[in-house]
Amino acid sequence: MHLVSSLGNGRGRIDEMNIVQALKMSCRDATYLHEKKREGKISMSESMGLWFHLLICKFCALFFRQIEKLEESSNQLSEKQFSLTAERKAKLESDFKEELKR
Amino acid sequence: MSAEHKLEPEKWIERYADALFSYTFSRINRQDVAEDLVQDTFFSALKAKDTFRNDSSEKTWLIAILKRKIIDYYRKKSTQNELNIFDKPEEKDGFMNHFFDSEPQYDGHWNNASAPKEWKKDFDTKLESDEFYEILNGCLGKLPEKWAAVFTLKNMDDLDSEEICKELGISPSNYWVLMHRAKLQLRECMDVNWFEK
Repeated sequence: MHLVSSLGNGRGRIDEMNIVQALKMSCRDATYLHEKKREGKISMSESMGLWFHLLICKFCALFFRQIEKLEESSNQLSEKQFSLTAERKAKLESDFKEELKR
Repeated sequence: MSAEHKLEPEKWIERYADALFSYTFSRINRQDVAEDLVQDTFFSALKAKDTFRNDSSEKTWLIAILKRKIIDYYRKKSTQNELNIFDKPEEKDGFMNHFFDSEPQYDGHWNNASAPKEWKKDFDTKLESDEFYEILNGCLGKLPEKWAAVFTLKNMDDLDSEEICKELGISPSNYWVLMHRAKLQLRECMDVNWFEK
């Protein structure tokens, strides 16, 4: 950070502020950025801040890992079979037959 | 288009009722809602049978109609009010404060009770039991509809954020917030009901 400000121009100051902001990222913000990161919609400074946050915060790192597992399993869930109750199916069958006759 | 082109409505219920129900129930874990959507799909399909083109199978065509019904269900489930609240970056409200500290000196840090912990059980998506999937389905079912909608459209239907926003009529900032909240609640629900058990 010292290096950046020593450039001595206005841009250096802005970059420095971004870095300070990035280093102060909260867990609330880091978890919010998970989806943006997944979709590649994350800005440079967000990406840097998140990278650093995940390096030092084991909770958020764990959150990211666990969420990705749950996303995978949700994808599997869409392949699972469920059945209508026999009762409901019979009712549907007879209602639909009625409709077909009309 | 004549009836010989493979539409056989008299066989629909027997052939597809369970498939359509599975499709719906894995996404919307509400028995009565799922049953109604399936019924509605068959009746709508019957009315629209002249629009059937034989370039798709009967089943694919029925699923396409069902998909529209599911999206419509999600759309109707969002009150404009709820969306207005979420149409900005993440707020410190009751929901968020359950997970994250709101005191200035620890602002936004995980609360001790809510911070993720290593799962006590081994985990492998491919090897998980039916019971695991029932609990996952149940936890998705406990999310407010709109939160479940963004999560399932993304992770089960593989839509991207732009498509989901368009389908649900929500803004991108809504989307990020809804998704964030869905993930926080889903992970915690799975912790409590599966991994910590």
